[in-house]
Amino acid sequence: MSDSWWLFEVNDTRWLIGRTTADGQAEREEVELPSGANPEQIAETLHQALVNLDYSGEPVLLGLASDSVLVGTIEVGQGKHASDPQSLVYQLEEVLPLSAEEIVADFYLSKQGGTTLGVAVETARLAPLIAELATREVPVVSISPIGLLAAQGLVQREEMPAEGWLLWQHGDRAELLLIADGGVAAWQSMQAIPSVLLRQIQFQRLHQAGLLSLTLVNVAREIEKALSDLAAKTEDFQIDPNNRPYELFDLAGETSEQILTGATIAPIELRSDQLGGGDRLKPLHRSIQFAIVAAACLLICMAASLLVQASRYRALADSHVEQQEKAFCEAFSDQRVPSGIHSRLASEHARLVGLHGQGGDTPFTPSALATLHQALAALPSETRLRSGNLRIEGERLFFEAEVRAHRDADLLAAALRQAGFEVAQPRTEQAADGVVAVVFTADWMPSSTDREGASP
Amino acid sequence: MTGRLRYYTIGLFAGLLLIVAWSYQQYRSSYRVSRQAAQDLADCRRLVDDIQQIRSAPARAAMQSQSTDQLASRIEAAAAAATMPIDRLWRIEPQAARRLGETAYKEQPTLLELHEISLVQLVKFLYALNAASDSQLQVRTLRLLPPRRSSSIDAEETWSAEVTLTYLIFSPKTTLPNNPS
Repeated sequence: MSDSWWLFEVNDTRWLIGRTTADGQAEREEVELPSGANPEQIAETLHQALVNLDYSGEPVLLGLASDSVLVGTIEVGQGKHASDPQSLVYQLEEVLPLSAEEIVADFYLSKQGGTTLGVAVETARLAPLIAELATREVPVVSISPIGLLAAQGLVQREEMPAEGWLLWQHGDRAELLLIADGGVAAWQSMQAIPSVLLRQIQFQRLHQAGLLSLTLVNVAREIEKALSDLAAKTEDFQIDPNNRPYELFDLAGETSEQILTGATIAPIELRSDQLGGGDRLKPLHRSIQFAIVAAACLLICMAASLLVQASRYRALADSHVEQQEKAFCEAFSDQRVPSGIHSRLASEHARLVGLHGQGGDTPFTPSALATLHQALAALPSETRLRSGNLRIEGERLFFEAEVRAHRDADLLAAALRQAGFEVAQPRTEQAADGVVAVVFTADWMPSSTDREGASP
Repeated sequence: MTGRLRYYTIGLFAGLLLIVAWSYQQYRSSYRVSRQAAQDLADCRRLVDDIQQIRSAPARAAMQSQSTDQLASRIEAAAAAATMPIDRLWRIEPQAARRLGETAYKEQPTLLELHEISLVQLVKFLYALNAASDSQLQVRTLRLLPPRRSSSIDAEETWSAEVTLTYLIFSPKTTLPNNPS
């Protein structure tokens, strides 16, 4: 967590530079300026002082002196349109010596509406200073009056009733503020002179119905006594006897630190409109630049790692192709390695499977020679026969023969059956020369082992 | 950040994103190629093993029809092996090849007509035809006509025979891809 920096304008010739470190240590340094210094001189002096305090470009809050702002009260109705910023500025313009185009303003708005405090600053007076600071890498992220920052700090400390008047002296100046609903409803800055303050209190008594209750902060004893005397004489005015010892700039500094760390928001924010035209992300430029560089590095690393991995995969693929070539050469050493090794091998494989009958659709073509061999081997040697026509179609046998007796035909048929033939009942016929003509039709029904054994 | 710098930054990131996208595409492409190559290598090794195993088995079919000269020389060699005079071979008649069902094979028949041969000669002749390692010839049908009685009692019976020799031709209906033949 970085330090919180704020620049408080005390008056024309005096500024305060404050810092709250990450561990909560607050320190403050005063900067003197020549009378009538222009914005460039002010910015340069402040920048030098900041550099001397080891400032390194953190966002800063600019606190304005009461004399540098214009304050007015306007009546605001209820509803959404009543709080339109532009219309409020035009209403405020009526009570200020400058036109709406020449100022940047902000308002204390309450839900109930009614009397609303408007605080404005002359754009032409402040814009050059902000620009000069920006050129020196001092980004102003918030602009707010110091008195209101301090009042907010006091309210947050619960040192102040929710409703009532507050008189806060700092040096020869005093801030008189009306606190209502936790915000500021009226604000006047004046010389810290008893007569001036009494006159102002009397004026407010006349315009306020009911009791006027006043809380004192850091008020000099002389002024406190004068106000106590007034309270003793009147019934509608009372003073909290506890004169709080807080320094205006200390509490303003605390509130600034909270605003810069995002713990709260400024009571009146004047870093808007014409004064907000700068780059609001300026305080984050370094972080953004770092993030951009980191993201770019990440993308470059991603691309590089992807390309390296792709290169490895390509090398692996090349190695696989080389091994495919070697495998092809193992099988076809006399052939040139083709471009499509896999498809070529698949083609050769299919061709060889077909040629060698390894495929499932290889037809079986029975051999008549095997059938002849099986039939001749089956014929009984003790039975005499004379062969006639013999026809073999694959494993089917047609056989005409002459035997001595009808029963010899049955013996032949039985022998063929024994050898694995399915033999239809033979047809026999007594021939003229005393022999018996016999006709067989037989189908060899071999087992696979019989077929292999009978194969010539 | 100035407008120009913002454009440069956006341009830089757009370029880097394109480079990353291109790199990723390269990576995916290389990964796919490598994976395919590994798969192909495994297939190739399996195919080579199969091919070498198949080669050791006898061929059951020819790639194309045998010419008449080839067939005649094989028949003559078989006749010589069976000590069968060649003039007993009256006819060699190649017939039209026909496809066997829906298979990738055709059967090529050749009709032989033989006369005045002994049964032993016939069997030896047919066995020699069948046993020739590169012929793939097979006796598909055989018809033996009754033996002619010789005038001499001691003379051997002679037969007439009609033999249909066949061999298979591997002829797939669709051409094999990338077939050098």
